[in-house]
Formats: sequence, structure tokens, C-alpha cells
Amino acid sequence: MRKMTLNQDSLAMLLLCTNLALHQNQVKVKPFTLREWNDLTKRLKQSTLGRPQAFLDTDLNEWKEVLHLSTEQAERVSMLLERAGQLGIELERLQNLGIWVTTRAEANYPRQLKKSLGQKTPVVLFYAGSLDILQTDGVCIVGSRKVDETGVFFTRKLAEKCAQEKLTVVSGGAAGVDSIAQEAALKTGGKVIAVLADTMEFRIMRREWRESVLSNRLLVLSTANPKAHFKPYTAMERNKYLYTLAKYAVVVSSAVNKGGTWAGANENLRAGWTPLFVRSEDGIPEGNKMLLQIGGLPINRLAWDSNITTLRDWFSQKDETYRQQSLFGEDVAVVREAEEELNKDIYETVWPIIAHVLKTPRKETELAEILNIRPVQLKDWLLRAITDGRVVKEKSLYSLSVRS
Amino acid sequence: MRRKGEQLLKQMFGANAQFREGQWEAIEAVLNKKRTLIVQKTGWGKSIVYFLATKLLREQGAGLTILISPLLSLMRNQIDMAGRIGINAASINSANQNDWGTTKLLLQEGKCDVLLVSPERLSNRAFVDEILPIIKKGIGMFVVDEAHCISDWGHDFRPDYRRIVRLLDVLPANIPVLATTATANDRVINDISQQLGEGLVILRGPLIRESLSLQSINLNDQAERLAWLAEHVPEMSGTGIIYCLTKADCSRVAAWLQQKGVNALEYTGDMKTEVREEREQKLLNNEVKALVATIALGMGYDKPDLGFVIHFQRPGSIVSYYQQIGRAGRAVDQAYAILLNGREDDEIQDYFISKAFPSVQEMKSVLRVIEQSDGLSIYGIQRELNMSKGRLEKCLKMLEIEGAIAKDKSLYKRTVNIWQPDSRRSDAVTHLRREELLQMQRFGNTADCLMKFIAEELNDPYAKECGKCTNCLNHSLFAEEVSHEVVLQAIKFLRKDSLVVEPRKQWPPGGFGIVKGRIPEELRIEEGRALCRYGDAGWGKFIREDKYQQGRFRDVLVTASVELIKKWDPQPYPQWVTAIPSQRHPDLVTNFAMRVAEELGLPYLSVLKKVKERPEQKSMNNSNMQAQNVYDAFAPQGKISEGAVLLIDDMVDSRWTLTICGMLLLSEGSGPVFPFALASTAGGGDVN
Repeated sequence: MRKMTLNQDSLAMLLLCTNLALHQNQVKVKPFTLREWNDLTKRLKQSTLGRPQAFLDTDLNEWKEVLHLSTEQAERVSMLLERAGQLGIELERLQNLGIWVTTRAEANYPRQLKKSLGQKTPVVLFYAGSLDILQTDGVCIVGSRKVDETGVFFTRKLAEKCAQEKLTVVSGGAAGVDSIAQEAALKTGGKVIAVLADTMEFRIMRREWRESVLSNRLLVLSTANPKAHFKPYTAMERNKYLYTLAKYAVVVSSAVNKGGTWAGANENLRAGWTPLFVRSEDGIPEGNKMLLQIGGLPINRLAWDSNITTLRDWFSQKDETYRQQSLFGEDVAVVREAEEELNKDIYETVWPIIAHVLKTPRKETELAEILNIRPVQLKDWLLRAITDGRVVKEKSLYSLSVRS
Repeated sequence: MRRKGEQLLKQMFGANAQFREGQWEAIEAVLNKKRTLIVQKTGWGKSIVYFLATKLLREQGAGLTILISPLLSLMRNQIDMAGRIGINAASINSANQNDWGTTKLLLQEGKCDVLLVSPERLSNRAFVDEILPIIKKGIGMFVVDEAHCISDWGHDFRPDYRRIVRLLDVLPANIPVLATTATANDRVINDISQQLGEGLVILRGPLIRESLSLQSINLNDQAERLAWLAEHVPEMSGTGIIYCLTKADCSRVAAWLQQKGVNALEYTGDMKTEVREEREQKLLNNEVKALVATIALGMGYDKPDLGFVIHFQRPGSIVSYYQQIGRAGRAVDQAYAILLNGREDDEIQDYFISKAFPSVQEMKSVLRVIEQSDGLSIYGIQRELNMSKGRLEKCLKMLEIEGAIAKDKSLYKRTVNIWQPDSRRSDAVTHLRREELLQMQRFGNTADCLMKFIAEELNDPYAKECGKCTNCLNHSLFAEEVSHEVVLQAIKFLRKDSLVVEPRKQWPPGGFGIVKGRIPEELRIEEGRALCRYGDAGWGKFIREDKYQQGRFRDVLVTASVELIKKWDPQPYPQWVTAIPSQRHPDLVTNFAMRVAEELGLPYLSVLKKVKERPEQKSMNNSNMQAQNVYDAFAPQGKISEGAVLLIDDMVDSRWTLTICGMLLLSEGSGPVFPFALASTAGGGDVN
């Protein structure tokens, strides 16, 4: 059997950032959130301790002093580290089931995630199957749980076509579109990456899943503890991974202003991870129509039902056209308008503009002038951007943070 | 810190107590969170190292120590010892379920310092989900006792230890790990090193026990060896252990010695825990002369004044031999280790070796059956696969260790780990075992110092001549000849050793066809007898020869059987005799049964016939398959008399043939059916 090797940094992360082997009925302590962990990592880097591994070799007093942690925070770390023995036992148990772990500190961590998400990339990922599947080109197929017959048909056909053309289907394992796409792709002999947010351990025991994983056609990823139950928040969070792991994305059906599909698609448009294609034919739901207006590219059966072009070519052609349109030209107004209608927080709307300007590091006054806004407002936004990890300030210069 | 350690030591053992060389170094390494391996002989004080380290860590606020131990008897010893020096130790194991409740409370309140568990316990779902999480302050240290079990090059490889290694692979570095063993040669140490990781601190000391005197005697026949024991055990001072390779041998030797006036009790893994504890205690208190035991009386059984260790048969390797004799002479000036070498020893070892690993074929077939289901119990698998329960359990264990299957309550399910059958490892180990066997034979015949031979095999850097063994002294410690008189008595004893054949009361678990559950009383056969065990030292050889070479059982077997039957005197006494028919050897059994009937003065009636040719019953490997094989193979013929009947067969194994033929007779109106067989082959020759 393969050996699971995790370095000490990874083990420290597992203890501090996940609830693996953490039983709340005994010790009431919360693992660090992504944001909290990023902050902690920064402090580590800037200190003599350097890496997460250091937590395992040093004690509470050192953390307080060197990392400037409050007593509360230091005790929190201490309590989280206490379960190290149980963690080892749990990891071995998972390994025996075929569930492996990778972290930001491991070499085999999916590069695309780091590249696209930067600081927002998950600290820990559970997986079953071969990570090699990540090297293939993927098509993310998403949609709501409730989908009409035409939607079902479209999903199935699209997934089959992907499989035939050796395009890996990336999906969320949810009921509805996700499952239909996964099943169709696997049946046609294609590959699938299923990114789950709950019950991984349970699902891989199912025969179809198990057989697909063993025959190297299904890679199951989970950001949540393999035993975790469904939680809307984690499911929402998970959506961005679907986009960042794929080359192209297709929304089969979406609601307006609610649901994971809608939120994910919008996030993708804002962040610009993957070209977003949205099903456009008769009878599509409102959400589809909206998405098409704010940047989604139309896709219909011609994409997979044509003798003239392969699906791959179709995608890449449309993608080409899409890229040629600058995001900061005529389309900004469209984007802004759409955003304003839907999202009263303008920060996200203006961010792309600020980002563009900050491609060159600038002073605050300079920025205010270029963007033509009051310094007070600018200060607010800059502060937000720093907290979000998007901007760093050195001396009096602001610049975009390096996403490693 | 050292001073603190010394303080504690004096608290536990008195003002004069001092650390032995290497003890403090080991404790220190552990306190510095370094992974450590201690290789020291029994009695050096390995437990002191981990108990003290535990105490010191606990004072620093650490969690408890998990002590992984392979044997229940070991665990009991440890808990007692810990208690005596003020450390709270408890165990969660299969024999003390009644105590789990109290132990849980202790764990919750943080009052337990050391928790002893077997390696399997760590992958037990209930343990992991319900007990581990409630331990206050979590786990502070792992101690792996008998660490040689990690290595398949070792003499006592246990597959569950492989999982321990994987656990240690993903254990954060803030938890120290201590591994201890008294029996490991270089190869084993290197293997452990590789598995426990770089930076392993290894502390090694001399392994040889100074007070032991060794002798090796060649006595081919069991009867001769029994005679030797009867004559010489009473001569030995003190009390000791006599090791046998199989449970049946233990039973036999103990019974023989008792008959000859030596207070010897058998001790095997089959016995109830209370009985085992009782006998361990008896030996400790010198209330018995000897325990006749299998390796179930295992490592670390601690009796400082053990006076002798006699091996009735040769063990499989020098290292095992060393481990078994190593527990004698700890706190006495003089102790003896005598090895009796016999002809049958190699046969038995050979059997062990060939059965040690499941074959790739076997594992593949088991996996295939499981894969095609959504989960199967062991009975479910037996219904699909013609494999004995023992073999099946071995396969399941290996497959589980290799992550190919996982147990979900009582069902085995396929996991998503890819499984590559790899016979290279088991082939290499099998090869090694045969080498070790050869080495053991050489030991039996060497003219060199016996102790040095062992020390060199262990790569003990301190190996030297002992000056105490028969070879160093050039004369025997105990006479090697046996009196002819006693040998004859032993032969008689072996031949008198008859067996009870228990009637079957239930159909195989899960049933088959239309039958399930209990066999109705009115259709059950009575308790029966078998003359001996097949292939045995007494009659067994004759039976084998006669069946396969002569085609006729010799008269002396008829006489012995008749004698047994008369002595047995079943009630109501049989009024007629019949035999199990066979298409393969049509005359063998009937001829024998007829002669028995004649000598008993009873009529012989041929009332059973074989209607279907079936594969030989002995090729059916589990109960289900065996029962199915005979179920419809026989039919009655002619008139069946009403009286009690003696039903004769040459071999009895699974008892299904006798059960079903008996059932036929009873349903056709016969009286009670008493089964009788020449030999029992049950258990494949009575191995462990």
C-alpha cells in the first residue's frame, strides 16, 4: 500500500485548521478559520519561528512572545495541539479507507488552486483517487438541484461529449445537474473530479463511486472533514474550487440571487477564473438570462452536436473571442450596472479598477487623484483590501499582494 | 532533570535505587521528543524507562501514555507493576469489558497515566469514537512494547503492527515514541529503524543471560521424550515451563506427567482467562512443578526465579528459542534450558511455515467476492468460497492491513485503495523461515558453545563462551538416556489416549438449502469415540500406512478399537454395527467394521449406500461446504434394525458425514446412533 507521508508543517496545519479528530463534547475550542490562519502564517514568517512546524517544537510562552499572541489565542493553539495522538490515529484510519490528505505545505497540492485562489486556497484537502487527473483539461458543469428535462438532457449530452473528447468533468457531487454530469461522464468512460463539501467517507463506499476511483477515472476531493455533514456555508465555499480546477465552466441552470450556482457563477465572473458559459436555449431559467447579461457566454446544443467542430475547439474559439474583449473598457459599465442592480456593496464593483491601477505601486494621494475619489473613501477601501489580503502596504506605497 | 528522575526512582524502589546503564539516557531521549528504540534483555528494566518517562511528562502537563502490547497476559503484568510504583495504569481489552465503565471515568478525569491496548484496539471503531476523544489532555506518548513484532523479519511478526507503523508515520512530532524489545538481531533492528524513521535513537545492551546453562538432546520419538521428562523433571530444582508446539501436545504431556506423579498443568490460548490467570499465579507461587505451555505463555511473563525451561519440540528459530528461554534465570544463580529435538519437529514447523501467509490466489479470491457485494460478513464469504475459517480469517486480516477492505460493524467492504498483490515479501519471509529452521537444526547438533551460538545469531556485540553449557563443560547436565521401562509406559500412554467425538447440534451458521438452525434432538447422533489423532505418535502412523498402502487395517487396530469400545460402554449398548460406505475405498472401512462387529459379537448390517460421487470430504474446507457436500450423498437400503447402533468410519473430520448418515438411520427407525472412528483429522492435525 502507498505510504502516506505528511511533513510536520502539514500535521501542524491539520491540528490547527481542521476539526479532524476534534470532538467538541470534550474540549470546546475552534480550529482557525482561513483568514485567521493566513494571519497566523504571516506572523510566523516574520518571526524567528518561521513555519507551522515550529508550533510542535515550542511552547505557549514562546508563541505569546514571539508571535505576539494573546493568552487566549496561545491557549487556543495549545488546546488544538493536544489531540496530536488522536489525529495520528484518525489519519491512519482514513488512509486505510483510501482517503488521503494534502495541504498547502505538500508538493502534491493542486497547483491550479494556489495560483487562482492565492490566500483563499484551502489549507487542507482530502482526496481519494489519483491526483494525476488534475493534469487533464477540465470542464466544470454546474447547475441547480431542481432542473427541467431539457436541462437534464443538455447536461447528459454535454458530459458525454466531454468524456468522448477526453475532457474531464468537474462537478460538485450535488443532486441534480452535478450528479447527472458525473454519472454520464463516467458511463461514457470519461474522467471526473468530484469536489465535495460533505460526507466523502460515506459516498466513496458506494459501488459506482468506488469502482470509478479504483479504475482511476474518478478523483474525489473534499475540503470538509470526510465525515462532515452537509452545511450550506461549506457547500457555497466549495463552488469556487469547481471553477478554479477547470479550464471552462458551464452553468446549466441557475436561480436569480440565490443558490450555490448563482453565487458561484458570480464569484467566477468577478474573479475571472474561468470563462463562464451559460446554457442559452428556449425555456432557460431567469438566472441563466441574468448571467448571460453580465458576462456569461452563451452555449447551446450546437456546441456538442456539431459535425463541424469538436467541443474542445468550440470552447477554445469562444474563449479566444472572450479574451479579446478587455474587462476594463466598454464592458465595465455593463458590469457595474449589473452589479449595482444586484449588490449594494460597491467595493467589489470598483475593486477591478483599483487593481488595474495598482499594477504599479502607488502612494495614497496619487491613487485618490487617478481614481478621482475622496481620500477618506479611498482609505476605507484600501483598508478593506489589505484585510482581504489583496493589497499590501510598504512604507507609503500600496501595491497588489503577491499571490504565491 | 536527571535528579528529578533519580528522586522518583528512589521513591519507587527505595533509597538505594540507581539507574542501570542506559536507563536515564533512554528516558532523556524520550523527554526530548526523540523516537527511541531500546533493545535490552528481559529484566533490564525497560518498563521502568517508560513508567518514569510517563511520570515526568505528566508532571509537565502532558496527556497519558498509550502502551501498545500484543498479549493480554503481558498487560496484566504491566498493570500490576505500575500499581506497585504508584502509577495509574488501566487497560481496555477484550477480556475486561466489565471494567470499561470505570476506566472511562478515569480517562475523563485525567486520573489514568498509562492506557494499555493491543494494536487492533487502535483501529476499533468503538474505541476510536468513544474512548479516545474523552481522554483528558489527550495522548502524551506512545510506547510500542515487543517492537520486534513490527518486523516481518522478526520471529513474531504481527500484521496489526504494520498499522502502528503507519500511525507513527503521520504522528505529529510533539508526541514522543518509545519502542522496546528483548529479541532483535541486526536485520530486525534495521527494519524497525527504517519503519520508525530517521533520527531513531537506538540503545542496545548485551542480551545473554549469565545464569543459564544450556543442553540440547536428540530423542526422536515422542515416547522417548515423554520418558525423559518423567525421569528428569523431578530432578530439577525449582519450578519451570515446558514448551510444546501444539495444544494437543501440551494436553498430552501434562496428562502424562500427572500420571507419573509430576504436578504439571497445561496452559494454552484456548483456555478461559480466569483459568490462565490462575495457572500463571500458581507457577509464580511455586504451587505447580511446571506449566506445559504453548507460546501463549508468552513474552514478559515475569517470574524472576524460574528454574528451568524445557522445549519438548524444537521451535522455529534461534530467536524464538532465545526469547522463550530468556525468561529463566533472572534472579537465580542457576537455571536450565533443555532442548529436546525430535523427528516430527520439522514436519510441524514445515506446516506452520507453509500456512503462515495466505497465498496471492487466496487473497485475490476473497477480495473478488467482497468486491462484488456491498459488504459481506465472514459467513457470507464462506458461503461463496470454499476456504476454511482459519485461512479466511488470515486473508481478511492481511487485506485489512493492506487497506483493501475495511470492516463496517460486522461487514467487510472494499475500500478505494488500490491493491497490488505482492508475494515477494511473503516469499522472502518464507525463505527466511526455512533458513532459520536449518539454523535451529544446526544448533541442535553443534559442538560449539550453545550460548555463543545464540548470541551470534542475535548479532549480540557482547557474544562470548558461557562456560556453563554441555558443550563448554564437555559433559551433559542431565543424563540423555532413558529407561526402556518408562519408554514402554509412554508408548502405552500414547495409545490409550482416545478422543471424544461430539455430536453436532446445529447446522452451519447461515444454513444452506432448506436447513438452518438447530438439528432436532431426535435426529442427532450420540457422543462418540475416535481411537486417536490421525498421524499421531501412537496408532496414527499405522492407520495412515494401512489406509494408503495396505488397503486393510491391521488386526491390532481392531483389537485396540474393541478394547476402547468395551471400556467406553455406551448406553444403551449397541445391538448392531454398520459402516459409512465409500465408493473410493469400498472394502477398507466395511471390512474393518465387520471384524469389529465380530469381535464384539454383534451383527453387521450394510444399510447405507453412497448415491452420489462427491469430491472428497477432506477437500471441503469450511462447515458450510462440508455439510453441503454430504447432504444428499447417502441413502438407506435394506431393513434398518430398531436397536442402538455403532456407526463406524475410518476418519472423522468435520463430523458431517457421521451426522447425516446418523440422521438417515434415525429417520428410518434405528435406535441411538453411536459414532466410532479410527482417527480424527479435525483441525488439520491439531496445530495451534
